[in-house]
Amino acid sequence: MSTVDAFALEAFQNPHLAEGADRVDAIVTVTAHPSAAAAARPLLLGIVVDRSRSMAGERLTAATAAVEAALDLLEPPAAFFLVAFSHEAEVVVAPTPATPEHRGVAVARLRALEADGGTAMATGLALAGRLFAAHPDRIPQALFLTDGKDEHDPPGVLAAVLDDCAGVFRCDCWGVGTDWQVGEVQAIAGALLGRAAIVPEPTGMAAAFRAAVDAAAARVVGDVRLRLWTPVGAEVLACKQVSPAIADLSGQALAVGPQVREYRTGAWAPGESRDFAVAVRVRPGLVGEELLAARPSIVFVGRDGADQEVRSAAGRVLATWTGDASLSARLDRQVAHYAGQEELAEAIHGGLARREAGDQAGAVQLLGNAVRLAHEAGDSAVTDRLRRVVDVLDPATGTVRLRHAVAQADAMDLELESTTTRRARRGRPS
Amino acid sequence: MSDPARSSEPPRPPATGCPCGPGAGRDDGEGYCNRCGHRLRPAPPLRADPHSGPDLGAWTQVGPRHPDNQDAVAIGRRADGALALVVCDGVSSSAAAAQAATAAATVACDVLVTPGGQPDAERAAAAVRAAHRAVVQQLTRREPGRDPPGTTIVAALARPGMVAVAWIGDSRAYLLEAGGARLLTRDDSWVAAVVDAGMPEAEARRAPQAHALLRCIGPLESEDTGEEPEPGVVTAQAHAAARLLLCSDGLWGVGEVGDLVAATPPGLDAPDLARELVRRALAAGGTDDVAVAVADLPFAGDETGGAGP
Repeated sequence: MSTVDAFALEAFQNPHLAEGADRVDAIVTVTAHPSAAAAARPLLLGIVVDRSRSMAGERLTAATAAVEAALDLLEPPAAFFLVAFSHEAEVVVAPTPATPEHRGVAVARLRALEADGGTAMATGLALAGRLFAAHPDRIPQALFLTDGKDEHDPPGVLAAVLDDCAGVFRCDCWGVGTDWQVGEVQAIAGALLGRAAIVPEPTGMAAAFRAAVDAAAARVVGDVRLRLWTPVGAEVLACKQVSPAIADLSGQALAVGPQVREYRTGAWAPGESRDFAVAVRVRPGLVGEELLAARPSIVFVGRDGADQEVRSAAGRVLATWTGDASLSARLDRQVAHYAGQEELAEAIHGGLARREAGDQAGAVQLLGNAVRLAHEAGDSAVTDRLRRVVDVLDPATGTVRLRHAVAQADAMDLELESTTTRRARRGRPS
Repeated sequence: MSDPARSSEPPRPPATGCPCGPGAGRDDGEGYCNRCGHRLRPAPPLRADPHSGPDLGAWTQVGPRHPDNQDAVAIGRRADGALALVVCDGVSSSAAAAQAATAAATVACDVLVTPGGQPDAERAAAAVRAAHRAVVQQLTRREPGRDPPGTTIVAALARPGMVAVAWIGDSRAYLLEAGGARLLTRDDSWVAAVVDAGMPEAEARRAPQAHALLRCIGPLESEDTGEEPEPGVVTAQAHAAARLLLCSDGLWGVGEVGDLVAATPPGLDAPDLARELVRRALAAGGTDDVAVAVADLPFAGDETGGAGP
């Protein structure tokens, strides 16, 4: 029996509030202990592949090779299934242990598939959701591949299916080529706590799948939930994952009790660390009073299949009221950092939307803003991506010019990666 | 691994000293109310906290406009069963107001609990004089542009059916009885003086001098004259179930003390009542520091001998 907690929580915040202030902001860093694998559960990998007409030829051939490469990484007790969708979905291989025989059967059936029909993403995801739900004892991980727009789902169906699937499985998504919608695929990945990326050339698929399966195989601590206790009368204004990528969990709160709610975060790898931004509105207290504004804790499924909760004194989100403005005016470095990262993501998203809509001036302003924010944050990866879309005249002031010849894939990549955040530097404020 | 969430946790003690009132919430095991989230058992700011019990308690809190708490309280128990209470309110125009109030309350309480056969009224007056001398001796530093250190003081002893109070300034003593709050002291303030002389109180309170003190203890009072201030002294008979309440103007300045007490939840013990009154004074928009000390008059059987009043 280990005496070490499976998770560590640490809150970063300025607990000092001005008289009458009622909003408490904190960044909560959650880290899975490197030995948290004690609670390891086997993987169920669900591969959901677009087989619509546009996938015909090189794309479906490459997808088959990518699935083969991904399955080659699996061995029992890991299991897998295979779903193909066009305007309707079918089970190509039902959940089965990842033996060499079963893997061979899967590849053979995939090769025999013909690309035909339209694109109804919700049908494929809903089918995968049912298969995952039948195996709650496993770590559920989906790989989703598409090359088109969600044209054959009735309006609103995709959003409803994502609501149903949220918390049931994690889904990493790829778009092949440039004929798909970033926002659509990002919505799927966001709701299902996965990553969305572009594979400009079909040949890139195998490497992308392999990397995703490697990462998924490491996430052995299942069904990890961020639990928030708040005082009577308090309101959770927001709960977002902000690192490694921005995912707003606010709408996915599960009420556990009148003062307790949980947010599903999926499976975690031992040693993995994520940051969450929590904002709570509380009843203003008196000067000198100290309030526990929120107690974040982590609930996960232990080895014996029962929920375990980890609390930590360092994870408490506190509020204390003061008449000293020099205390209450201080902005916590972590909170400020992620506010900046969110602003950056919004500037990129808005700028690209304006550019798409032909609003040159709006695009220049917002993308210029993004360049300035990335420059101030020292975020060279984002700056490099922005440079493929705009010519940067002066990064410090955000003076940019739209580039004329922009590869569509570069613009899509910029938007997809805009929600990936950099971590703030840690350590005591100087 | 940490405690499994499913395990039956031991019953937590009821939360006290939070806005929920007694019995509504429980200690969450980490010192916070599991209902309202307020910190329970905060670090005691009170020197006399070890003497606190269900029958004797005190609380003080800094007002929202103040950088430091210029009010101070002290409570103590005499070996003969009498309860000692002191409230001081540092003069905010003076230097080191918080230190003056703290020093005065500490010294006065020490005198109140010192063994000896002196009558209570004389002992209370002696406590005030000793506090004055202590502030004069301890606080010698002067700040340009600020008055020398000064503080109000009200010091009291409570026995079965009887209280003795000495004071200088506008910190007050009340007897809380079934009929309401009976004010025992008379403010050494400009308002009290002109009201005595015939001015309507409402008019006096609107005057620019409404907050002016006429007397205090410390160098501010005696530096020019060299004369030791003489405290007002009062003794009063009280009902056996009465409570004695001492407070700074941070409490009585926000409303009638009887009304404030009547609005608190029933059944609060002395420390909870003190804390609740401070909380309510600040919640009612009070901007000044607040200090309150409360004692239940001891029952006759509690007395272990010693001098009466």
